[in-house]
Formats: sequence, structure tokens, C-alpha cells
Amino acid sequence: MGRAFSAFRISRKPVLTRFPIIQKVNPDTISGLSLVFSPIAYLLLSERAIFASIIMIFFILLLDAFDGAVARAKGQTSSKDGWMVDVSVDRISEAIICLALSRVFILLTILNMGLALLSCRYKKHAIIPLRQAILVILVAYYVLQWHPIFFYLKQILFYW
Amino acid sequence: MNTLGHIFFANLLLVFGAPSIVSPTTLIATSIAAVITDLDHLAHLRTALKTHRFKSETRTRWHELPGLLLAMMASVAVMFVSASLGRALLIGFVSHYFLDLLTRPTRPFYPLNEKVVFLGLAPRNLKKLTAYDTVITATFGVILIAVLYGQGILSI
Repeated sequence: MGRAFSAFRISRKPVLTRFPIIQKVNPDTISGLSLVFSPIAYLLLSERAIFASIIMIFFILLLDAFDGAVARAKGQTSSKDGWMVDVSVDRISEAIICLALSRVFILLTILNMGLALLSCRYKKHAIIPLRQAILVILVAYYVLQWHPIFFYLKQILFYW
Repeated sequence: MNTLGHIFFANLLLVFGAPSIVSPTTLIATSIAAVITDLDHLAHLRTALKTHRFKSETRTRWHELPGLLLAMMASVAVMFVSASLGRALLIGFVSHYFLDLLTRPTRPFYPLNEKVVFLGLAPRNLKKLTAYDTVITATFGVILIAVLYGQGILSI
């Protein structure tokens, strides 16, 4: 039983620790990279290049998830500093992306920024996953071009 | 980032991202919004002339996330009067915070928390930082001038 438990423990070890290069990478720099790509997503959305925007936002979210994985692999799990970097980068990233979208998303960005400040004040994490929501709406917009709902999605995304 | 870098980058976002609202008025509005946040540095100008840089402690709450929140709310309010002017202001404000977070040590949650955040994508050494800023500013400037010249907004 003990052996099985220890085997389970080994399998729970972060996979990224197997790569020595991960120890040299700063998770904050990965967060920064996700921020660097945000203006590109904004420009693609402005050009109504929906498929390319979906890929770019997915890549940004992937980088965002990767920085947390790298931090965990390096044993930096309980850091409030990491939360601060992550949340501030996320808020600016979604503010840049939402510049290409309708006022609904700009208002949601403002709401999210307020929530981030309240989260910091009251030490409780309560934030809307806005970029994830944008990604889902964009995928629906791209896939459902034949459906009557397409008109409403277009209104929500770009005109309101 | 330096003042020119902020102006060039904000106007690039405007020109490429919202070409339908580009006009001399929106270009000026974006430029003002992109630099007005830096006014709080003026109180520390004397120290900065000696050290050749503004430290993160010279940034007030209006230069961090609470300031961006307020600036975005003001821009949305302007949007209900003039949609193009509001959007131009919004682009200017957001681009400023974007460049600052990317290239400088900031305190995003100040005054709630004084933790300094630096993403490590720009050098901290003064000489290297000056070179880095110069290259980026020149690149933004050349692209912006070329685009504005191509669109006939700027003429020589």
C-alpha cells in the first residue's frame, strides 16, 4: 500500500520538472509574453480575422496557463507575488483585446478591473474569465455563421 | 517607456486597430491620453534628473490599476457623447499602462499593495534601457510616420 502510494506521489510530480530548462525560465517573463501578444490579438480582431484571433487568444491563454505550471514546477506555489503578476497582466491583456470589441466588453473589462482591486483588498479571488468568454463567443461566431444566432453574436461582439 | 514611445505606440494602435476613426482630432486625443498619466512624475523631476530615471515609487495610484479603472470609466463616459473620441482616449490610456507594465517596474495594486512587479522583458541597467527605449521608440515612430504619410494625414 505504501509503495503504491509513493508511486502515486511520483506520478503527481509536475511533468515540467523533468525539463532542466524550466528551472532557468522566469514565470513572470512568460506572463509578459502573453501580454506582448495581446496587441496582435487586438489588431486581428479589428481586422475581423476571426480564425486568426481565435488562434492568438488561445495561444495567449496557453501562455497564461503555462506560467502557473512553470511556477509550480519551480516550487513557487504559495506566492502572493505570483498572483499579483498574473492578475495585473491578465487585466491589461484583456483591456487591450477588448479595445477591438463592443462597449459591452469594455464595460466588462472595467468591472473585472474593479473586481481585481477588490480581490486584492479582501484577499478573495473573484474575477470573470473574460478572455476565455471572448474565445468561446468567437468560436461560436466562427462556427455558427449559417445560424440565425450569428447576427446576435455579431451585434454583441462588435456593435453594441 | 519614454513620452515619444507612448505617443507613437498609442497612435499605432489607433491607426491599425480603428482606421475608421483616424483624424487629426483623434490622433491628438490619443496622444494626450497616452502621456497625461505621466504627469505625476513631474513632482519627482529634480531627483530624476540626478538619477536619470523615475523610480517605481514616483508612480501614484493614478499611474496604476486604480488609475486605469478611472481612466477607462471616463473614456466610456466620453464615448456616449462622441464614440470616436471616447475610443481614441481609451486606446491612449490602455496603451500607456500596457507599455509601462511591459517595460518598467510597476506597483499595479498600489495603494492596496506596494509589491513591485517587473516582467523581465526589458533591461534594468540604465545604459541598456536607454538603448532599448531608443530602438523601440524609433521603430514605432518610423512605422507611424510611414502609415500616416501613406494615408495622406501627414504631408511633407
